[in-house]
Amino acid sequence: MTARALLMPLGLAILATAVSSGTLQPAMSSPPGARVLVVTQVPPATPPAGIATRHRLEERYPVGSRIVIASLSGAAPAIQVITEDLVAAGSPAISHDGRTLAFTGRRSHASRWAIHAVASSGGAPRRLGPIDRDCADPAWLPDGRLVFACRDPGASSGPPAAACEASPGWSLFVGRPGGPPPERLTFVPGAATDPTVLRDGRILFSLTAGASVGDPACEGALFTIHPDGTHIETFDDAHDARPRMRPRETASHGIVFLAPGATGSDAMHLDPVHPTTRPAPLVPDHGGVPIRDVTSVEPTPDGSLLIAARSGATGSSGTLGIHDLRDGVLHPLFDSPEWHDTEALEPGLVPRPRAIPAVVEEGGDRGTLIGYDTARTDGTIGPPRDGARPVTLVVQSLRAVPVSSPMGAPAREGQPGSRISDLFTIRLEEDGSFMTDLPSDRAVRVRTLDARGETLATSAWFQIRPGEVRACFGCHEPRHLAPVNRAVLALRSPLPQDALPGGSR
Amino acid sequence: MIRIPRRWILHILLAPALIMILGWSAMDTWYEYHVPRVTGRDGLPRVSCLHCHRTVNDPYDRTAHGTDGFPTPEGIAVSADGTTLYVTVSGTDTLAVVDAARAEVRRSVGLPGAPHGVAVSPAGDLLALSLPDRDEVLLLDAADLTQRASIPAGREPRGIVFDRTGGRIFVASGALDEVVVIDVSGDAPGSGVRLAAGNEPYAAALSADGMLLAVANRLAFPVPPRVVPASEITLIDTAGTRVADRRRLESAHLSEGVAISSDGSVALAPMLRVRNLLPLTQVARGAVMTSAIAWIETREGGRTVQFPLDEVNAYFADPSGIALTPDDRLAFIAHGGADTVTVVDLHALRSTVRGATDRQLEILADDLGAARDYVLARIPTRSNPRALAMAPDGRALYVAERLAGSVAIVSTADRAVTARVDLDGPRNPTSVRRGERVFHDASITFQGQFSCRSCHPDGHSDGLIWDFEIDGPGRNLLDTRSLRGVRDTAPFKWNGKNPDLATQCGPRFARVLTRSDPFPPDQLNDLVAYIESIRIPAPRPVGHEAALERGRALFLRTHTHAGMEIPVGNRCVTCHPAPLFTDRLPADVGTGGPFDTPHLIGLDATAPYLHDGRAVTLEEIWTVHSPEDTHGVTADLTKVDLNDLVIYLRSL
Repeated sequence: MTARALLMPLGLAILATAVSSGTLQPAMSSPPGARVLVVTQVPPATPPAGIATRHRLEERYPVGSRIVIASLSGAAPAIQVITEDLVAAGSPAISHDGRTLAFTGRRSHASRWAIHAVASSGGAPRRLGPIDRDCADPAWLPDGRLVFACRDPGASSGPPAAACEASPGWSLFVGRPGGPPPERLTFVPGAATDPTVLRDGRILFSLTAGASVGDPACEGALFTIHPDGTHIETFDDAHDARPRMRPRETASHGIVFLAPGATGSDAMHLDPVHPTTRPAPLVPDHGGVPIRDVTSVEPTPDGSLLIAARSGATGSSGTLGIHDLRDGVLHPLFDSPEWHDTEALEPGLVPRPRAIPAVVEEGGDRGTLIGYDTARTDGTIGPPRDGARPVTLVVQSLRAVPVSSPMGAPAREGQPGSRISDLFTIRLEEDGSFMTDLPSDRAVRVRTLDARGETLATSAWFQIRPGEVRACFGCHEPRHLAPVNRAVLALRSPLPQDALPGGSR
Repeated sequence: MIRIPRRWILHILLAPALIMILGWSAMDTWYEYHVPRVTGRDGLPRVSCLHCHRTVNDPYDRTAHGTDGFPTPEGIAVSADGTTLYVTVSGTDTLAVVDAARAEVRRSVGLPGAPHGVAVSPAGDLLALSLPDRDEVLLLDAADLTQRASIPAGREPRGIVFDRTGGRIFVASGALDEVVVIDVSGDAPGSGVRLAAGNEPYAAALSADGMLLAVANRLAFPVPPRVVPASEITLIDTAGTRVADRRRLESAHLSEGVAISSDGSVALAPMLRVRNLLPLTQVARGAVMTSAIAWIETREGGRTVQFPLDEVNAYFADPSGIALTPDDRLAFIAHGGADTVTVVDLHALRSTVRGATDRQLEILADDLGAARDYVLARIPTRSNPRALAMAPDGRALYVAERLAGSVAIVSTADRAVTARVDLDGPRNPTSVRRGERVFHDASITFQGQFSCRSCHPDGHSDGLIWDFEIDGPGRNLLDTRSLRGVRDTAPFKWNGKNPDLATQCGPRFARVLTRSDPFPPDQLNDLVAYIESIRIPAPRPVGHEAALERGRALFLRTHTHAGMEIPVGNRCVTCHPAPLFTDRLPADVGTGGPFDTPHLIGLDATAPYLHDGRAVTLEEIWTVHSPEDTHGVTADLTKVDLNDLVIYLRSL
């Protein structure tokens, strides 16, 4: 048995000990009181990737990047490498029961970035698959599956020309270690990345996409989706010129995420109860020590935040280190002078998120979309027209040409090879309501027209899963408005089943 | 040693098989002839003999109920000097007298029934308690807790208040939809005037000057499908003993508390704002229901506004009791489904109303971003807080933690629980008691948006029609069925597809309705045990004995007035046989069925009727929705006959 083969079980045993205590008791090889961290380390020769290049795994995790278990005991932390067999690794995630560690990694320079899972009790890492894509950023679902982001085949991985156009398209997938092939969750254009699982069971993720057709400028937003791919929707109404990356839910149900700042990446905080308020910097300047170049923020089981960042208070090496933000006070925690410590987790038992039952019909190819009131809008997606009311609805689809993958190549708006086509047009009811079937598992959007045929509003791209019944309260209406309780005409007098090409009801 | 001939062995082995084959064949034949003959219907699902020929428990059994034996505080009143709390405790059927300063039970006295509301007279010498099961109000001497009088108070009396003189008591008589006024000024207290309220009056509050009584009605008025439901806040002029105004609360129900500002200008009532006309495609974003507080300006022509208490990703189910600080600065609202008390800034509400147009206020009712402007705090409590009471000086709030059997004392300044009084009674919950907590706990739903109780208040029915989209949006409108007395009425669901309650509340329930984890097995067992324990209130005499007997004869009749024999399958009693008044078999009564035959016990309180609630009254079942006698033969019945039949059905 090689030394490498011995190291991984040893490191995982430390992890298992730390986790099984449930209260972050010291690991078996650590003195009492020591904390244990799972840390991603990047070679210092390579500057750590910022948010702008987050979509390029080769820059986030250059060759030599590794995941270690750091047992913090006095001045000399004990380090155990657990990804020795990989040329690069990163984005670790610990399951809710603390028994399994998932991460992304590649075995050679030519191989794909694959999601791996390894039990804390030992054993070889199991690779999630098969999937012919580069994948990263795993997060654990309450049923033991993983949701993760994969780079779409054919998407560019070269140097950026303009922010959004250069960003490869990414989609979310779910899969189980050792289970069947992963299932694709998102079909919308742009880069769907950085999933995390909220305690209410939804998946929160970052979506970076072009603002409009052919527009190279990016808009970043946070979206939620159910674990079966239904109910994709914006989390906080905001479409920001700055991408919103790596969101995480804190112990107090707040949301932290990363966004490009003046001197690198900022850690931002968002109140999910009042998500329409603007995000605020998480640590703008505490005790005169600015936090710069934040690469990750992770909540710990006991409610503090681990922040991987460069800080004037953390050593003099200039490398990134790990800090603990506890009760508003930032404490330097761990900084390896030979590495950039770009991500850190603390193992421990955390509450299992609630599960959301799946409603997708196996083998189906359609879902149903209901609009309660297309005239109800926040006015941000179409020119205001006094007195104009929507009378027809055009359903459009974004298709990729050609399809080059068994799972279907995703399309990106404005990307060569993508095509927007009108699927069908339906007449709206007098009260602005409608109900129609839509083809599932593809990017669609709807456009409302007035009596003269002029566009009033165009929705964002969305998707519908097989068998899903989706209700829109309005047409890009403010997210904080609950629907009005009224009997809409579309439900009272459904259209004939075969009236329209889309199978409208 | 006994030797058994070989051929006997063969017979021993073959006989049971032969008996089984013959028995099965006989049952099959018997079923082909017997069941259609008895039911008058063909094509029914195959059922065992025991389906019909069994002994069921008494549906009026009053001994099995979730709260029995466990202290369950229902109402709180505070003495004028603030030193003493009077707590009505169902389950143990007691009145607990609590020392407010020491936070301990000073004395506990037994009562003849389960109490609900409690009020202290202005002089502090009398206590009035409502006993819903006994249809009575008890008058007790506040000094020694001896009984002064027992007074009839309509049917299922709940909320209760003294007038300013102490000479009259106003009682919300839930099952009669009336406010009963009781004169207690003389030596022979008795009920007199009755004022029509809304649907199930539940709570009442008197203004500081005693001139205005506000009554919260728990349910919305029954309406046909696709009509916006509305409940009512009834404003009563106490001087004239007349209804001064009826304020409509659109899409509102489950108002169980009411308070009036000290200047009498505003009445406030927690409520659920339901969205039952929309298909149940999702729970998120308040798509099913949200908590709110109704703001009612009491002056003539004053505004009625609904302020949401929920927020975009934070929900606080089942708002119930309310109490105001004496300076009218704060309102406290208990959320029974979220184990929380919300603190509301009343000044913010007032300024919002002043500065907004009617249209803006209409939009505000559905704006989950609004609460941040007036919700000051959320105070966690123990299980199922409902009734609230404020200390006279406004420094302490008392919270009846109903299913924890305790009263929490909250500092209104610190907005935190500072002490707690555990009421006398057993502490180790039974399966039924645990199930009762599950039933009332909104954490079972996505983001904790509603509980079982939100649609089945106290195990009954919300009287609303919901659009279950599972068979296609707009195509599956279903009236909420009462859970009272369902123990022996399997199968369940309007289509009768669920053979037992565990299935009814199982994974599909989570997928279609709660959109969250299914109940774990132990919780599901407890929940079923609780639901099976929900009893039906004992039948009350309805009067009109002669009419009732005529109605009974019509219900049991086999021939029309003209002497024509009514087909077996179209007789009332065929599908609705005693004692449960259901044969638990599907029937097509011309409403798009077949549907499971509902039981008729407690029918009076379950309007609207039929599977989709299309009949607002019992009479409409036959006059509007059975013109071809598809639901019994009634075409030959006169208006008087129908009245008699209705009286009989209401007596069940």
